[in-house]
Amino acid sequence: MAPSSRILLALAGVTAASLALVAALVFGGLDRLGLRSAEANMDFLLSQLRGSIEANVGLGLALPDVRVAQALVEQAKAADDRVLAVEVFSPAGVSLFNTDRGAVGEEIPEAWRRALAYRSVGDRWRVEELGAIVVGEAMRNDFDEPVGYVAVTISDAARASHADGLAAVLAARAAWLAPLALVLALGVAGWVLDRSTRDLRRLAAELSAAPPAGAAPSPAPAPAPAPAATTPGARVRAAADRAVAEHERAAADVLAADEA
Amino acid sequence: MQSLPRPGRFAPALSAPGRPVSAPALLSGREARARVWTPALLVALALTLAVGLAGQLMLRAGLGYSVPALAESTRAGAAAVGHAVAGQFARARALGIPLERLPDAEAYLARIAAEAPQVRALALIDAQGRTLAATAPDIEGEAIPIRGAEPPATLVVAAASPLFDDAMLRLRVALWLAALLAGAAGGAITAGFLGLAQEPARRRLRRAVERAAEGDFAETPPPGARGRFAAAAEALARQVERVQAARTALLEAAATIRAIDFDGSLGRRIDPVLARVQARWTLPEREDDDLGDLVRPPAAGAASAAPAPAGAAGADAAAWRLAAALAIWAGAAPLVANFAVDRGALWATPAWQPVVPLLVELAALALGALVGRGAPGRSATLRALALALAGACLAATYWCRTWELFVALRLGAGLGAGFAGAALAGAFAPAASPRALRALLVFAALVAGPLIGGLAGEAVGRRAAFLALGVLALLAAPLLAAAGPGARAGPRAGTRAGAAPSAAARAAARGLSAAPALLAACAAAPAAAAELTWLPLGPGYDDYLAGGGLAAGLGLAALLAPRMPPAGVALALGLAAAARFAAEDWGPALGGPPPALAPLPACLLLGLALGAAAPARGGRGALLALAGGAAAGLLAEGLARQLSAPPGAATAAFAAAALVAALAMRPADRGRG
Repeated sequence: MAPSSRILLALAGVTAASLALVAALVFGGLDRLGLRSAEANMDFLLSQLRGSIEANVGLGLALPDVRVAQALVEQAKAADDRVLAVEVFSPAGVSLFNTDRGAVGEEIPEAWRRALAYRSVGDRWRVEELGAIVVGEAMRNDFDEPVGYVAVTISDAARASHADGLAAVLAARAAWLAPLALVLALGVAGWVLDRSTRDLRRLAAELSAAPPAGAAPSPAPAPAPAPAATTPGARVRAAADRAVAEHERAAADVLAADEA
Repeated sequence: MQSLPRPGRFAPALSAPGRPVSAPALLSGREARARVWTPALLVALALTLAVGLAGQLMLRAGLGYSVPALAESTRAGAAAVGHAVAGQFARARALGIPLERLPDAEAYLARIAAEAPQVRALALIDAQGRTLAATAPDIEGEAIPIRGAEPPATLVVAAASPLFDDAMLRLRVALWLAALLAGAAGGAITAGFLGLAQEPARRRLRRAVERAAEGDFAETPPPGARGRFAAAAEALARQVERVQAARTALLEAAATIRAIDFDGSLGRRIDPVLARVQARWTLPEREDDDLGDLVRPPAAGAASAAPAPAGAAGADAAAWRLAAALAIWAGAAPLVANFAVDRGALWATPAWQPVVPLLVELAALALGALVGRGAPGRSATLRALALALAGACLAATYWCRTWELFVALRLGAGLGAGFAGAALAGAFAPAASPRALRALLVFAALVAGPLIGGLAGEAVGRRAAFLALGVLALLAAPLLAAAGPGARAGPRAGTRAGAAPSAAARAAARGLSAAPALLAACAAAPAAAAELTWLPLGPGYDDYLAGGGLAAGLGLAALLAPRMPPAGVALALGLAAAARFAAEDWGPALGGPPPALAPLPACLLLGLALGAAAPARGGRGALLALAGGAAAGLLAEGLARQLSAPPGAATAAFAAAALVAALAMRPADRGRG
């Protein structure tokens, strides 16, 4: 493969990889925007729940004794059909109030614990589970100590459907954009490389040009003055012609030595 | 003297005869701009535009699909808030409080609008259409009836998505950064090809053509496989072959005469003829030309015009392979520290959790480099295996859940990268231009790598970015480790091929004296700490684009840093310490620039100091100083976190040490580098 072809291939690779990157950036950006939009919708719900429960805790009640919390979590789930579950759990990770009453007293999943430990941004944490997104927030007493956590689980179905549709749209767009971008990039690169080696092509053509008819070198008594060559290729050819003629003349002279 | 065909505007014009050909270099000045940089810039521009426009068109298509869904989500969220607020008003009404007499209703609505990002404004409207409370004039939006209110009232909710504008700005920045990165990579590839590979070959061809035109056919350019250079070289060789054939015929004629020359009289007659031809035309030596007296020895200048050592072309290829491997490896830089912190550790305190994997990786890198620069590094198979090990460790991070395993994976990645890097670096050390290679490697490691990592993290998330980088390294391993001519010859290829090491190579082999080494280490320490810990744990935590972008800014400053006196380096470090303190301590308190951009001045100053202090030539001393500085920077960062030192304290300490080094520097040391 010619070196310039290798360069074009490398540029094609860079362009293709960059196109894949921008497609991934668009997909990731819009998918994340959808996710954050869904999470933002839960912010208010979380804030309301946290505020209501913290107000009761502020009255001096221990979190497990805030019985109104069970009603609050059930109302929150009933008010929004995107909410799959709402749960209040203790700092030890034991469920205290839950829209799934059967789960009260159980321990929270390990993934939640890890998110609480390592992924809290401020008092907020989140976990993506299969088909669901869990957004949680710490609840604090008047001394700013965490007394428990509230977690809202929302359906991920809308996001998954949005992601599938978005991927299909981007793939369809990329199907004609990628070849166009490659043609543009490689066209310019090819033109640039062609320009940069044009002199070499001209030189090769000059060097390979057939000698003019009847100008075949033959042993001549004396070299005829050749017209001045103007290009390097022509000069080399002229020099080679002169050299060949001179060698042939010398060979004739050498052979003639025996006849003299 | 005639020259080659007149070049086009940027077609290469060949250099003057006699110019050294054994040290390929990216040239400087107007000539270089025409030959190398203009075509490279054009290609960079084309790639930037192609990728940038494609990105914008993809974004438009994505928005066309997503905006209705996002608008509906925002509307639903705003409506949910509206229903909750309307419920509160209904409760007040049920308690017998008339809505128009509700105390601080407007403040309550303003608080709701501020807390709910999807709500732009709220208004409470009575049955006559009068506004009882509103957060803004002329609010239009979804009207939610307040149940139980008699006379009936409504709450109007105007929805908005403040997330959208921020996300779009961020996405557009990311897309243009990706386009610029593509352009930079394309331009670098083009510049490298034209400057490092094509230019030396063109010079050799020009010299051969000019000499052939003068009757000296002894020099022939090395044949290429394919392409225009190969075609031109082949055409030249055909002309030489014609003369060679004529000479063979002459030699045969002379041999025939000498065979019957019993008394020497014929020889005396033909000798002047042969001598005349010999003096006039020079041809390459051939084994079948056994009439040594006919073929004059090569011209004195031919030795200097000999083709560049075979290692040169392979050396350039090795440099490009090393740059590509470096960029992939450095792609993980914006991701490692924050990944380590998020894994948690059983025995390391939070201050050391991000630092330990990096220190382990650095040690492994050094160990791998020690092995790779020796005999094992000459094996293409071992190089490929080392790169594959680094790639596998990067990719396996996708499944890594524990800090301890992560440390082990960084150990493997460091070993593999160090081995392959040292092996590839050894292949070009004697031949290539230190300045061009330094620029290439700094660009790959400090600019392209962090940007690639930041963009990949932004696009697919941190885990998937590790996976993507690892798969890329695995796929590229055989290609990057392939044995080029220089690589095959081993680390000392150029020297063994007979080429004397250039002055630059000899200078590179010299070690650094203590003061410049200390200065380089002091500049490298805070830069490494910023690239590897401060940025990934600060602005780059959960925002890999910001982390990668800022790290690339630091690298760019290092790449473009002008020469500075040693005291200037210390001053830049001192200013960087102050800028970091301002970014982390004063900026937020005084309502300074947005957090993502706040560290930029500190990053630029650190890059400036690093670029000015790092020795211009490589060599063991320089590498040791930089690696030692990086390790010291990481240790200082861990210690500063452990002791809860003020931001920039470690940088300030390194600035003070740099000042000491600057004062201790001898005049001879100042001129070096």
